[in-house]
Amino acid sequence: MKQRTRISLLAVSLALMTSGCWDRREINDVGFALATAIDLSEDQQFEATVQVAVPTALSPVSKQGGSGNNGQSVMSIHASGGTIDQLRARIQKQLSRRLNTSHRRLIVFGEDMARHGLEDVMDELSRSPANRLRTFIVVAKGMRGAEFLDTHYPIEAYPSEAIRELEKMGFGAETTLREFFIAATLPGSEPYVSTYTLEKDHNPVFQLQGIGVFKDMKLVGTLDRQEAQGFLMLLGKLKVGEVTVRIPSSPQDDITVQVKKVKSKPNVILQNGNQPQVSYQLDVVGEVSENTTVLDLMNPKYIAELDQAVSAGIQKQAQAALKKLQSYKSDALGIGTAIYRQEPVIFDQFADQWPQLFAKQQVGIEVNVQVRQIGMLGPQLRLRDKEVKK
Amino acid sequence: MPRKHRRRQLNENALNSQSLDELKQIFGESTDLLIRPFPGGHVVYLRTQIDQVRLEETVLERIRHGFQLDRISSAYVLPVHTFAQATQEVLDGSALLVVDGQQEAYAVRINLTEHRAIEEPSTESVIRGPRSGFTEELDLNLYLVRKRMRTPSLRVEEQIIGEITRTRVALLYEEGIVEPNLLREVRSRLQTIKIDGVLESNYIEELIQDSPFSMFPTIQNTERPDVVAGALLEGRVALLVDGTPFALVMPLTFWGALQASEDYYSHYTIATAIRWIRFTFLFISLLFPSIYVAITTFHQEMLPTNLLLSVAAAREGSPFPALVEALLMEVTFEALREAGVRLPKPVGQAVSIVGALVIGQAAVEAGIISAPMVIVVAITGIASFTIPRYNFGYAMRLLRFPIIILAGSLGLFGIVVGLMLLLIHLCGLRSFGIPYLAPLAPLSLSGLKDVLVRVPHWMMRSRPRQVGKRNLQRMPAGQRPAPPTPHAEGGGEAE
Repeated sequence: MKQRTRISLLAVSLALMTSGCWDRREINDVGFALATAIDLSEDQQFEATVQVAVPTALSPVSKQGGSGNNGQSVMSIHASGGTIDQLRARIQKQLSRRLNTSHRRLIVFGEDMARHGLEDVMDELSRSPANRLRTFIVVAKGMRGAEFLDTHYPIEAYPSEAIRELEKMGFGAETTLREFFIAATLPGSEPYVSTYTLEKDHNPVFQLQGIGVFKDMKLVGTLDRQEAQGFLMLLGKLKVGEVTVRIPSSPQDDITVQVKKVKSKPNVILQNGNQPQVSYQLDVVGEVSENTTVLDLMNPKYIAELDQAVSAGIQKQAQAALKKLQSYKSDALGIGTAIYRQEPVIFDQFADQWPQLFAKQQVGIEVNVQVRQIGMLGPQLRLRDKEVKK
Repeated sequence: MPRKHRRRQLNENALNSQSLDELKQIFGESTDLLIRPFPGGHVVYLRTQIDQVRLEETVLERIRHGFQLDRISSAYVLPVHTFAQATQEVLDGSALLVVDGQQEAYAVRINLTEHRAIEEPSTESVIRGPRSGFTEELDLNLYLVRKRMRTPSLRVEEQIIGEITRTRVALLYEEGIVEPNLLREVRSRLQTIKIDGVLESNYIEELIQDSPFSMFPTIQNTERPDVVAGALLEGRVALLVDGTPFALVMPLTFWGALQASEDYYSHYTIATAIRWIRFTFLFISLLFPSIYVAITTFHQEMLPTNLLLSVAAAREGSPFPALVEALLMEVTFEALREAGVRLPKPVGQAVSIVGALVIGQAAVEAGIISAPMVIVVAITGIASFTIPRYNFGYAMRLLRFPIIILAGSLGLFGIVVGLMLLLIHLCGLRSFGIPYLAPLAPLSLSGLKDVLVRVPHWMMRSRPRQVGKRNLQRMPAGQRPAPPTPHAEGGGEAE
């Protein structure tokens, strides 16, 4: 008994001592990648730029230190290579701390890279446990991703945070690695991501440009701002949007309606046995945010007209988005998935030709808008009572 | 020495100056032993143990003209037959009247009853609740308990433990509630004690507890008579030891150690909420530094990015690994706490000022310790004082260190290993035959009403099954107060 205790004590202490702290990485021996840009170089090599956090500059606590980093909150490291892992190794050789990607919040692909195809880089991103699936993916429209990371964006602690926050605001596609993979692997759907440009007129700042749609892991085209809005409404994902319309009672002036809530429901009906008919039912709740007419919007008649007009406007945007997608033959809406979920056997029959079929698929869009709020007043405040059209 | 004389009969031959010599011999040359003659005999007493005034008034005055038993006006007069008895009486503060030619002597108890006033217990203070605490005087402590339980079924069994100190130990229980097995067990454990002296109840605690190697207390100690009374009402057993204000209450369970007396004196919702705060902070006091160490050195991906960057920035300048930092700070904190307890009161303030500097701002500004660690240590320190039983808090504080080391070497895995070992240990612990984790493990649903929550008194109708199974019912049903129903004439009972 006594011997057994002794042996087990010895074993435990040996296990503790010999194993030591084998995985131990002190927090200040780790370089935290905040964003990565992946581009395609002219000789068809991958180029990666990694933005690593400089903690002392980021913290509000230790500002008084001034340890010679010029207040730069991030540090960029650049490498090129044939595979992502090569890039990683090359970047590590330039970085004095162990590179850790578990806090990376953003991956930017240059447009060239995205058009070339992401199939080669996506494997590492899905394989390595160090990658966070909540990382946002965006495409730098018409430019290299690396340029993005070098942009100075003073209001945020580090520039990539700006894009992340913009994404989270709900104008954009909000595509994370996880959603990208889901869309890329589901039958009958294709991934889409937000595209950004740099607004260069004044100070260079990021600007959401639209949505880029993929087909077979390759960027095939982009939706502009209006189409993107229609697209996001069809997905039911839109959080912030606005529609500017004119109504019959005052055909010269604009009324802008903020879209507050969108509910979207695709309906699949089989016709002639195996012809799926798809239609979208959009329920939108809006709020008047600007009224340049002389109308008193307290009158329900105008609101009814407004509902009609906004419905038409949204319908137009949605149709435009759909048409664009069909021209790219990329079913980023996941219409195929909706069919597959309802009629898996039938979808399997034409799954291979779905991109071609999608391009010709008739999709009905029915929009039902309810403008529920008109703001603090009916007519414009500047108008005299007799100028207002009740 | 005294043992030699124990069996000697005082009246071996008629009491006379010879037996006085014998008594003198027993006490040696102690200068406080006085033998004063009176007409027809001698008074023997220890000057330091008796009340001089009472000696004069109740004894000396009455026997001025010779000894007559019925003239002694003391409440405690005992005929004494043996030397052992006589010695003990003298030691306890009696005046021993040795009358020439009589077969027996008389002990008149006129002991000095010096004790400090009944004060608020300093280790278990309450906001609402009785303020009286035990003192060092056993009789006074018994009075405090008896006053709360005015029933003949409160039984007091007194015995003497300690060969030299001959300390009085009183075993208290409530007849009719207490489980006979428990009582038998406590009695038999007390009987096995053979020790030279008992200076504090911990001597007894360590000699009768179930798992002598465990850090977790299986016997509760308390300074509060109301806690003792509450325990007796549940069917538990209490030991009061002369010379210490700390009474022992047994058995004690893990959950019992987390119940404060005030839980029963404040509204049950608040008591329940506070109990949960205690549970939470129990874990914080055990684990917080370990989790900090594990996450910052192994699992950085678990922190939110902004928090991570703040921690990283704060740790940037610090020279020690997080593990060393944590151990350093925790040891410093414990040292400060110990110094605070031990230091003479006038210097206490100096310690708190210097201490605040050492484990505070100065250490951070000097770049020796990172700021988050100071926060961690501070929270842990506060957490460990939320545990109502001080000695239970000790266990948590001590176990913190091995778990920090495990966390620093194996990460969260190490913490889990540590917790598993702890859990196994706790599951194996027993207190006088009752599983330490009862009523949660083994599960007794009705017992949980006073563990995870504190139900209102009108719902606490039964005693804890573990100790009070002999007489489970505390009160009849249907005592929930309700406004009078307008229709019921005879005051209908609320559901």
